[in-house]
Amino acid sequence: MKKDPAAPCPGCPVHNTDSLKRLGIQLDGFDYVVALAGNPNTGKSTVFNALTGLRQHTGNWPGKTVSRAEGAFSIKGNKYKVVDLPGTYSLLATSLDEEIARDFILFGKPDVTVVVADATRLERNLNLVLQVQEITSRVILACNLMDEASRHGLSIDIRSLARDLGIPVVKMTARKNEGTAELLDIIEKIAIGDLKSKPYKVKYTTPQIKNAIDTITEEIKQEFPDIPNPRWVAVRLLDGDRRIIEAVQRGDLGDISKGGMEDRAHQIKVIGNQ
Amino acid sequence: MHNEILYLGLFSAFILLCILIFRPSNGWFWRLKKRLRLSDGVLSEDILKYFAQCSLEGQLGTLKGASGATGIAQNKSGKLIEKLIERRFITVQGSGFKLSQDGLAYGLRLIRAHRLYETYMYEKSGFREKDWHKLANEAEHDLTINKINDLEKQLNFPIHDPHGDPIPDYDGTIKTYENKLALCDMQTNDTGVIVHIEDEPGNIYSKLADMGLCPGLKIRILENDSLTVLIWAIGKQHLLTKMQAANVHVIKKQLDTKQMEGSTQTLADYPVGKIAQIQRISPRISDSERRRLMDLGFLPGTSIEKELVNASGDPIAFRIRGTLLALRRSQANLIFVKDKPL
Repeated sequence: MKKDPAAPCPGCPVHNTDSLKRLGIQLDGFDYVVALAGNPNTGKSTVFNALTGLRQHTGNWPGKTVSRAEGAFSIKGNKYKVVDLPGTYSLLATSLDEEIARDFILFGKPDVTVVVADATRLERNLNLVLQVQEITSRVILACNLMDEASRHGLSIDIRSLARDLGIPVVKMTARKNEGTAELLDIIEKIAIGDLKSKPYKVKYTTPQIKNAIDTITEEIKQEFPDIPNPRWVAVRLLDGDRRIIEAVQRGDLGDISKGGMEDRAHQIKVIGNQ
Repeated sequence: MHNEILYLGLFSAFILLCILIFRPSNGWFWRLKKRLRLSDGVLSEDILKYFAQCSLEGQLGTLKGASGATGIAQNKSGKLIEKLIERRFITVQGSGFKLSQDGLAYGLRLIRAHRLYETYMYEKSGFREKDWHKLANEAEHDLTINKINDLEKQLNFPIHDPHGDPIPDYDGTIKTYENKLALCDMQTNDTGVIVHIEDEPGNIYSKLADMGLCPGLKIRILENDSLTVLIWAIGKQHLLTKMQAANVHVIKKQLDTKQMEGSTQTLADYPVGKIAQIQRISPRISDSERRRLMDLGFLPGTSIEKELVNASGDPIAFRIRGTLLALRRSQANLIFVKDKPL
């Protein structure tokens, strides 16, 4: 049987782009939610366009995406809703668009969070990556603007970076649609549970802080045994984070990190009935 | 020919009149508007606020004191106080006046509104320190309880206002420093941390603010004689008059020379092209700005290099963690650095 040499083999990530259906804004009945986070001006909206086929306004100045933009794509039969968040430097919100991004990552229960970073400013971008990793382990670092990096003579050791961070790292030049296939592959693996990461977590070494965190983490584990990141909640409480304090007082802390099982079950039922 | 000159003259006179009436802050129109706003209600609230402050300091309020603090003539003050007694906010106590439960609650609410509004301006606005007090004095009468609570939430429940004054809770509880001293009462070689700067009178506060003094600053007394107080703070000497020193409150604390010395060079005047190491960010920077700087990588030990300076000296571009970032000169002036060790 003659094999067409140009056709991608079934196991290869490139195989995905063939079955990628860009769905624009058809947002009903999705199976998984993907959030696009990152520092301002790293190409999140370009990645968004590449995935959904929409034409989010992109440009060279920070602060264009001010609220959430949502789109969808489907691949191998699964439908993904993509949420393009405004750029933030950290999850300790200081302005409205940062608050929107933070609230979505915390309370919007995305199944996968892709942090888009600028390869030419990696050190500053990693601040947000580490913060997101503290909350959820379903993170992918998309190292974008690789063409800019090589133009400046920078080369990035992606493998060591992935090893040190403990999460998958994908090289991308979204502007030229390079790396999209790999990104889709990893998004799918994480969404369906085939890939579980063990992200690097910040260590607190000062004895007072460490003791305080340990004590509170224990109590949180007892009160809310289901949440996967009690230590992060403890740190937020010590920091005086109002939203988290209220969530703990109201008792709906569990909602923050559970993957929205109830919502999805409902959606799958709806799709099944169509 | 004469007609034109006449018309020109009339026009100029008209413009002059408009300027006199509508010139910002001092124009007759605005002054009139302000005086009309100063209804009895507003003035009574000012008096209640004064008495509440007296109560917090453990002192008895007097008519003279109220009149002096609020700027209301003694006759008028007397009448307003009488009305307040009728409404059961104030009771007579010996030679002075004392607030009833309701009166104290009302007064504390005003103080709370005032201090929260000042904190709001410090954190979220570009108003200068000299203007906070005046603006808060106007705003405190207009803020409803709900607006005050929302403001508190928005500011993430601050404990002190930017002068170091404690902010009363919604139920009126308030924390005070037990053992704070005025600067003029300290001895030579005492060290401590500034916890409070009195915001009235305004011109003394302005001078103190210009010197860079603020809550959180570590100081040492160098000399304390009958007319002046010489202190060491922010890496240099400051000479204060006794009156100025009386308005600065400090908590005595043992500070070793290492804590006192610390770097005095700021990013504003650091030379171009040399690599510096960040030591600390001044306590004068508001919380939200400090957080933003830290998120951008301004942490103790971080290397930073001044790359570009605008012709006027403001703004200034720095290379930090691989990115080029611009700061205003006033911001750069509050970040302390030292030469990076090789």
